[in-house]
Amino acid sequence: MTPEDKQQGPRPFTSVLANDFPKRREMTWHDQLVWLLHLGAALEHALMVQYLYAAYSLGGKQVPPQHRHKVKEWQESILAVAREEMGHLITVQNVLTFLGAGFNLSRDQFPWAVEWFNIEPFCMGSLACYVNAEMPESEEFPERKEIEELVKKHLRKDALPVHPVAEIYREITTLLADTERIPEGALQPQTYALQASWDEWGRGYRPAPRPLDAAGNLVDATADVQRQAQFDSNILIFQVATRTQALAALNAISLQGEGVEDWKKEGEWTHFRRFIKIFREFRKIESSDWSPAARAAVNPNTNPGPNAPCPDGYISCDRTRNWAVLLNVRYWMLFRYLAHTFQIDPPGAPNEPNLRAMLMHRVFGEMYQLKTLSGKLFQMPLRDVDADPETPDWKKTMAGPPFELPANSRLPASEVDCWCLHRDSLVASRNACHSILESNPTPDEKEYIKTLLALDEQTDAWIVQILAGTNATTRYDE
Amino acid sequence: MKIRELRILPPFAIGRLGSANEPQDNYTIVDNPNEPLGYRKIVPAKTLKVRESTGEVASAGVPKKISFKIDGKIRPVAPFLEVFAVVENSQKGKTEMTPLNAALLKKVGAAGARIEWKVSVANRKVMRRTGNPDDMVAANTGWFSDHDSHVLLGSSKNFVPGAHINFGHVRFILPNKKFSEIRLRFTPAHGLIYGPHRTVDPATGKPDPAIPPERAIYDASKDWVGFGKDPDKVANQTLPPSLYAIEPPAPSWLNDNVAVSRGYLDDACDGFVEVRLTLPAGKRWTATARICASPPAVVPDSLFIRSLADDLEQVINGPQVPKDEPYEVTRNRALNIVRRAYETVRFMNVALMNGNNFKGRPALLLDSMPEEEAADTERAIRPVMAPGSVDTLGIMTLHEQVYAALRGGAAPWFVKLLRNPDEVADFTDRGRRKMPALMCGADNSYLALTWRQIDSIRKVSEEAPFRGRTLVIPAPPPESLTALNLTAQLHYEALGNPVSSRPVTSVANCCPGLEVDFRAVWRRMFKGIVLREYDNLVMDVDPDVKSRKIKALVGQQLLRVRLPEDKHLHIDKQRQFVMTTPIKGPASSDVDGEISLTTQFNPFGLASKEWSNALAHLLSTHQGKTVLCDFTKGLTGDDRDIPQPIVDHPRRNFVTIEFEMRKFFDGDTAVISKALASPGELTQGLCSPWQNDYRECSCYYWASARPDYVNVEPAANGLSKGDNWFQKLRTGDYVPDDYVDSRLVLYDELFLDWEHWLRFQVGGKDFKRGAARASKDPLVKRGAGG
Repeated sequence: MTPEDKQQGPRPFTSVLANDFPKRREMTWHDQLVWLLHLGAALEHALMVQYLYAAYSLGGKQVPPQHRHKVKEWQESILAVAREEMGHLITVQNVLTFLGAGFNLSRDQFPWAVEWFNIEPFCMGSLACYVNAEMPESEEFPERKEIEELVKKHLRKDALPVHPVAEIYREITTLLADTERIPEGALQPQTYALQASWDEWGRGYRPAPRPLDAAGNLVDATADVQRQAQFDSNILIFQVATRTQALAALNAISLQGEGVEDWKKEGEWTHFRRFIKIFREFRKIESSDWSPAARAAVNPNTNPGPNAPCPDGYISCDRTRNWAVLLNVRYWMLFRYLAHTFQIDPPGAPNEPNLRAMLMHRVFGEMYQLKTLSGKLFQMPLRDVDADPETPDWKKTMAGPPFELPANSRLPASEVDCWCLHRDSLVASRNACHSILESNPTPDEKEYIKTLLALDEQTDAWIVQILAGTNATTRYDE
Repeated sequence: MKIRELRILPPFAIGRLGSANEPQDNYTIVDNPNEPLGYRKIVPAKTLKVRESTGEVASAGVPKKISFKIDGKIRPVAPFLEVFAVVENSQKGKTEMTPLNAALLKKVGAAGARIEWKVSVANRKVMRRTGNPDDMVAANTGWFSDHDSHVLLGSSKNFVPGAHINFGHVRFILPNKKFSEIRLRFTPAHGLIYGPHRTVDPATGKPDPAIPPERAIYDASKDWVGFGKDPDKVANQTLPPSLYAIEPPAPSWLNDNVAVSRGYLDDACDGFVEVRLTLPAGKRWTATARICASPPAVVPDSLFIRSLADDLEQVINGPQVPKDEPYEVTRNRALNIVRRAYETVRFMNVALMNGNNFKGRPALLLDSMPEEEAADTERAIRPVMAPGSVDTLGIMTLHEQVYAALRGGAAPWFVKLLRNPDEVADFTDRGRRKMPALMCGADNSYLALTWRQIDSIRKVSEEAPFRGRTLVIPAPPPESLTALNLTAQLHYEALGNPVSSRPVTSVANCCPGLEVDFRAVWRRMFKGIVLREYDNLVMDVDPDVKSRKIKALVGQQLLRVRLPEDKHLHIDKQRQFVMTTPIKGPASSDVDGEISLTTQFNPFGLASKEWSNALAHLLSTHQGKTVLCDFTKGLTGDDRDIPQPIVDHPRRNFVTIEFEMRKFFDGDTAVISKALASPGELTQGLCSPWQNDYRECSCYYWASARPDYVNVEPAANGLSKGDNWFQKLRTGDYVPDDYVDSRLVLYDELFLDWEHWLRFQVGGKDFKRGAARASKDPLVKRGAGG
């Protein structure tokens, strides 16, 4: 019996997660904690993509003018949540770094069925799923039963699915707080400077500063400011150097989701609070005459052949699939840049521009392109029949952005190979762009692709300069 | 058909100084379809060649290539001004605007009409400082109808007898068969510096090399020479202060704020061009336009993020974009703004402008907005963005990504990241990081776009998600030139005029500005009083004012403007127009907190707002109408320079008087009203000489007009490298500007040979690198220039 096995006995875990997926014998508690954090990161990533898809699906010509303002508000609110999920993901990566573990940017390695992580357009059913995912476990609110029924109906299940977001964070914090299972030696405060900071990544997304009163306390936000805050992200990115800080960080991001303790506090727009507000507003104006979102695929994909998983989401229209492939490549580029920022050598002189920050800018740049490409894909036909002018609009299904993960999601160990991998991505993007140019794009589409190619050319020249500075040879011929 | 009115177009023409004999060929700048993110392409355009002997247009053709210099001398931009007639066409049943030419005159029965011109310009820079009317330098041609060149000889009572400043010349172009339109050409001066009439400079005991005898014209016993020696006698300081060539050491703010004038003047000017058409029977029509003579546009292929055209369009069309404006028009405008944003950023050394230390050298010793902010608020300097993240190429690429995304149809997501014009003095991290970042506005606080620019981006942001798939977003239709379309008139491209003669190439964040100090037009917006151009202090009242109550306003501050229907004070904040904004900063005790940044000299922590945005909403509804103005009462002494708060309760600290808001333009034209600015007033706030401002003013005022970072390329460390525009030797190793580094062009070098040192930038690089002649400046070693 290993020391870990002895330790496991006296501390029973009563949660669903711990009961169904206990620590394996060959794992240390540190391994278990890292695995849980990887799960947490994967969940945040999956939620973020899910929310992005839903947000980008909102809009379209079919929205009646009198509802457009409200639909735009919903979109802003959900995008605010998506941004906050990104903040959660980065904070979890910071905690992983603090534990001396590698980062994780996957989103599909779950030990349970994740039917409720469908990538699907906004509708009452999917909205109910989001409410369900974020709602506080024990709190009562008027629509709880209704939400649960809607979720079951939407997912065609008899029982509510597991939604382990809170569960996982509870497991993580319980384990991390355990000084015997996770001793001080496992923690690496010297990684603080390597971690992502809010100052660099937060992009100003936090509540507006408030005046102080005579005692030096923050004055309450005005009603107007509180109202507006629902559309503004409060991105939480914490750097951690101590166990207490790590616990506080994980607690904070968990609260931001469901706000177990604080969701009723005025001014706190937890994810749950935002979604339930949207739900209530949608309920009032919902009608079969109109849809706030594009009629688009669930789990769109570019999997070759209609026999691959999620066949209903397969983008069989060639023209559209070219764009979907491009989106996938940009998505991979984003995460490769992001992963690289956690791996690159730390900055040299403090308070001077550094290469890691330049990579960070690339991450944001790719977010902007994903936004653009998503918008285009929600207006492009899923199948050839959807492109047929004879097909009535109400029958047409649009594609939507697939957000498919790459086959190769690991970064190489060497710095030079990382840069070469980025160049590989640029080649892939170039190929995807040329496929689009060869398939009769509209003039505006052509303009956009040419702009993207120009951007990539600049990026490539930049990387070539960096590689020249390393005196390394490239892995392939120019 | 009959003539109803005349107009001169363009209503505002910018001439640019230069000493080459041949004026600048016509060119325009267009997007390069092969380089969507690259620099705009300079495209030669139809150029009119005027025969010197007769004054007629001898030929018109498109040059093969564009050069900005001839034999090292800069080619002046000499704009043409064309006369248009607003005619009533009874056959078509409408009013048209059509060029005035011989055929039209015949058609309207005015074949024997007399056409005359008059040009009046002035340079009031010295008068603005000394307050002495005798220091005004003015030129007036009187009415003329011949086709000779008329020199604009500027005279002043404080010049030695017989001395003048040559402000350039104007010529009524002789119409001929091929070019029968009625036009005038304004050719600005050579960009010369004039100075005191004396044989030696008392400071050195030697003749001043910058002022040869023929330009030593100012009476050395008068106020301008040695102005500033006694700071108490400086009654009406400009903002920024001491904008003139001073006795070394310079700049003044690094030398105990001692600013003793060398007595220099320049040949920049501004004023009016007038035309009158008189029929033999005596019926007469007149028209006016404004002109100015400015420094050259040294970055001809880039446009600044906020231009004079933006501000004038806001006056014409209001701060809000109409709901029914076609989407493609608004989108095009929004795209253009974002494009100009990265065109501006790429000339800034963003790390330095951010307030970073530079290779260990403290940021406090280098000029930037954070440094200015620290000095004004008496707080420690703080970088604006995370210091590690600010590299020029990195930031520029990010802007390009934004542009690409918008071009692809994405809805702008960054509306809330744009600085609201009421937030210009928000010095919290959140406030300072808003866009545009790191640059100075006309109020000396952080730059904001015009309300209209912001609203354009907002409108696209709201409409884009509901557009549906469009095969093509059409290009916006061109503005049609009609009598009522002031926007079209403002942007009118007269034949032969390069784009650098138009307001779209003039910076708007005038502190003090480059082409004009646009702040000057707002001083007389309220009929009867004259405000200081950079804040709300009442400086004077109109001569015809009899009211004692109004006369007592001199030395008081205009605190607020209210609408006449809101006589009571309990009204929505939206309907009050306060002339100041609170200065806010981060609370040291709480990262989520903010505090009011007060100082000994600004105990209420308030900053003036620039007029263009502060009055925009009022202008859109109340030009020519009465408004309620709240002024301080009883302010005396130094308190007059301290921005005052408004106190409504329990006792008001203000007095309320009704004033009429003047109309911004004269009549139905797009000519800035004569009542708002006389000749010389649009340029009076600029530096004297303007060359001094290039030395002293950093790029965070107008980066794409006064660049900082040039020849920028990616380096092996993944960051950018390049040169300081003022670096004498181009090494690729940027030299930060501390005003005394001998590797940089210094004051006297610029005064002696500015045409050599102000190097044109095309494609972000020195234009025709290595091809320029060596400087004639004896201080410059041969081959040291570029």
